[in-house]
Amino acid sequence: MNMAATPTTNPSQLLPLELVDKCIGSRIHIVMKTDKEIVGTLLGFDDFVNMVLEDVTEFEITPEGRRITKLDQILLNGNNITMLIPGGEGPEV
Amino acid sequence: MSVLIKVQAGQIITTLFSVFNSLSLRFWTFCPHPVSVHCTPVIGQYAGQAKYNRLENVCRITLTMSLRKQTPSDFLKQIIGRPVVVKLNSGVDYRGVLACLDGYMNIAIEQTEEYVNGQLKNKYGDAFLRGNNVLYISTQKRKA
Repeated sequence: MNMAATPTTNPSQLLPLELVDKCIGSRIHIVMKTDKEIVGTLLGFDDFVNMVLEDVTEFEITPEGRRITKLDQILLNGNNITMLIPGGEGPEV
Repeated sequence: MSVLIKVQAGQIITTLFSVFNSLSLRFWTFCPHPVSVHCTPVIGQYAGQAKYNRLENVCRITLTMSLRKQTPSDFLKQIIGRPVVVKLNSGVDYRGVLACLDGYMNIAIEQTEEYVNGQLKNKYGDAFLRGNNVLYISTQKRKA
């Protein structure tokens, strides 16, 4: 009889996806591979770290910090994500 | 009695009170003022219970909240048929009504407008976008 399928981990470890999970419901700042950053409220994500965000502001970094504000919800493709910053406000402009 | 209410982040739950209104006239009689609860920052499902205390003449409403995640697949199911903005890795923007899509983010859009550098370049009746090029899919409540 299988009691547990999951491997036992040291309880003091915080796994990366656990950190992202903790972030659900709060603001998150996402840095992409290109010169682009996204700030929004995290609604959810999946194993590929595709992210569902709300109240999103999009920042283009190189040309004097162009800003595009989008409303409602977006699904961001995890393919191009480089870094996630919980609670981040985005680049200073 | 208990009710289940779903809320968005920052939404003020005055609707909670109107739900109780419809359930019991007595609540309205003794609680004439709307109850508002500001939920920050969490998006979740709230289960509400209302108890009227005759002695104090108060109606106490307690909300317990459970966090509800919305995964990408749920998101994709609910946006079909809605006007969307799709941005590609190249920076080109497509706006139109989402006809259908799959798990690879391949997308079919109707009444498509193509924006390059913010300028409208083309209009297509139907467009198919291959998923590997998609940076994001966004619903649009208002035109940006």
